[in-house]
Amino acid sequence: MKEPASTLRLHQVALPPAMLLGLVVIRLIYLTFYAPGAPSGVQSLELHLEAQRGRILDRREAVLAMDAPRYQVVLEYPPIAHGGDPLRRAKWLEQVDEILNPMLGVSAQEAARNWPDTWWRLPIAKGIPEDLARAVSRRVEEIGLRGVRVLPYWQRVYPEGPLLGPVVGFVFFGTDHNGLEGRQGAAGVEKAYDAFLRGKPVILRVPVDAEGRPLPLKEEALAQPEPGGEVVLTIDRTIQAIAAEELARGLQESGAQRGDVVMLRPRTGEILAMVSLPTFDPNSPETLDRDARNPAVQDLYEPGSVFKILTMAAALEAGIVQPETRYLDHGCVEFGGAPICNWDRDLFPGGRGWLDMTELLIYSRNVGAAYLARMLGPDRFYAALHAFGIGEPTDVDLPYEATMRVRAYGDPDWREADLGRQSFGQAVSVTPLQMAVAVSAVANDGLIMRPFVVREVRTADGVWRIEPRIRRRAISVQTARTLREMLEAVIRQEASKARVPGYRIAGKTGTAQIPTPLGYDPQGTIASFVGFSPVEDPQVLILVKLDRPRRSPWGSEEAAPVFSRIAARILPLLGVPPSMSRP
Amino acid sequence: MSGRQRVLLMVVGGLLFLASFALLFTLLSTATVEQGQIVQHLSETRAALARGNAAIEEAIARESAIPRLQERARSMGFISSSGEPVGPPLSLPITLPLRDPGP
Repeated sequence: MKEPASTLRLHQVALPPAMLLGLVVIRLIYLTFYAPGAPSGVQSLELHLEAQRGRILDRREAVLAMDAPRYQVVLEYPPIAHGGDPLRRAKWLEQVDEILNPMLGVSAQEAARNWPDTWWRLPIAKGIPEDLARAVSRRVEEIGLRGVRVLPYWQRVYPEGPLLGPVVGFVFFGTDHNGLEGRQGAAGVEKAYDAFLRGKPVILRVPVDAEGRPLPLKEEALAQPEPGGEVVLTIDRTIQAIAAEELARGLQESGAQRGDVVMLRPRTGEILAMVSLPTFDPNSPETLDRDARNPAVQDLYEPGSVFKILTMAAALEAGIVQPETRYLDHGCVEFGGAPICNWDRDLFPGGRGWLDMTELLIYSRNVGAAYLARMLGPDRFYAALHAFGIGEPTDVDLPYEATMRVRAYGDPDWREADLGRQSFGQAVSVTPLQMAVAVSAVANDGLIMRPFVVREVRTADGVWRIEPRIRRRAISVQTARTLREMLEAVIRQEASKARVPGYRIAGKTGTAQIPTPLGYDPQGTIASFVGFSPVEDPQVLILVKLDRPRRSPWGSEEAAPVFSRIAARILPLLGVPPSMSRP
Repeated sequence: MSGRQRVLLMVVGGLLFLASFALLFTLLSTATVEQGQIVQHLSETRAALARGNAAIEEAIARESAIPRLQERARSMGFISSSGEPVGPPLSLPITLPLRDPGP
């Protein structure tokens, strides 16, 4: 039977689309079951796009820490690249080596030996320069080599090297409290301001193509990580470098094992420099384990005679003495059953006789300090220490600040002898920063400011300026001014090595014994000096501390000259005119 | 028109509808993918520029770092105001030689 013509016409029309659909179905079957490099069930990947960490700048906007681009060559996801077949895997790695070994000098076969199954990426060369990265990328593309990719990443760099290591800190790779993996601040400003610096990474689960490459089909795939904010420090790197240079010279000349310098503006609490030597280079991870700390904030020491500044301040404030008040210095005195002697008892076994309060500071009399403590009594003495912030953190914006409780009246382990020893800086521990902040009250008309190292934070949401903050009043304006004059006399008449030509300096030396589990170490001392200038309007306070100097044990011999050289160089830099030129 | 013809006509009509729908879908999705690729390309370009900027910034920061400036000053013949040679901070962290190790 013959078909009608209309039916034949319909067949002719229907045939091409039907064939087209058939071809599509055949192609789908092929792609699903037979195509090489089938995704073996892997259809998506978690991509972690790291954010560029924000910069850390000094007060003049010089870069102290930043993220710089580096490149790495990675092998990607073996099941996709070699189809899960060990023979194909070996052949693939051989091919990778043939191409990459001459360019990079690394062996993919060697690297892949310890490739954990859970890693979908294995870096085989990191930190390669951009031009080489481009060459490798081009070559891989030309050959059509699968499973090899050149990827950029961010590396933290510190252009000033060890100069600011303890302050700026460093980062390490780890998991934060939200369970997010990535780089995070481990020390210094990097840790304290991590939340602002780290930015927002992008974590995506994206579909992949047959070669395991993420498909940017979803809108989210185009999301970019948000760079971190910038942090501007109060530190001036030039001043920091001067302090480091002079401290290094001081260490060399004195033979001291190590040393610290803290420099701050007493009016505001801004830290201008914070140096500890020897130090570490945050660019060299191998030095981090051993030395990566900030001793100016984290290490406690017995301050010795510089502590007499606080004892004298307490006595003046209580009104029990005036600068001209005299006492009889016997050289040694019994206090709470324990003897207290002057440091120069060999030269003056019977003491120096009648001395006034300024002379007490000038000749640094332990017996005089004990005399003041006895007159003050424990209540007023410890209240004064509390007012100066001794025994409590300074609230500086740096992590891991150390504090040690002051053994005080009323504590079960307190003895009366403690009061006598504490009056001249024994049996009490502070950090260099805590000591500097306490003395800054004298320079700042009695007010203690909160010390800080970050003056500004800039993020996408805005700019925050950190303003100076008063913590408390330690002493009255009058006491502070009186004490300044007395401390100036110390420099004028005794600590001559701390003088700076043209400038009025006030300060106090300290030579402290070093406590050990078996008592005080007879071999070494901590030589220190704390001073500020100019006396008429203090702009900067500098604390110098040298541990175990070998040439001379005394703060007046070793720490004072370091102070003098630093002050002589930085006062003009800070725009402070010489005192002698003032009207 | 017989019943069979009507069925065939419906099948053909359906196929044509599907084909035109597929064509439209293909055209739209192609345009979307193209746009996506452009945006992705721009995004990659932006990221590459950010990397380029950071690389330049790093080079500037390294060149103007204090140890490098001191080195350059020294190579140009400058000395410190006191006339003394510039000390060890160029090589921080310092390691101190023991002057007198003692007994």
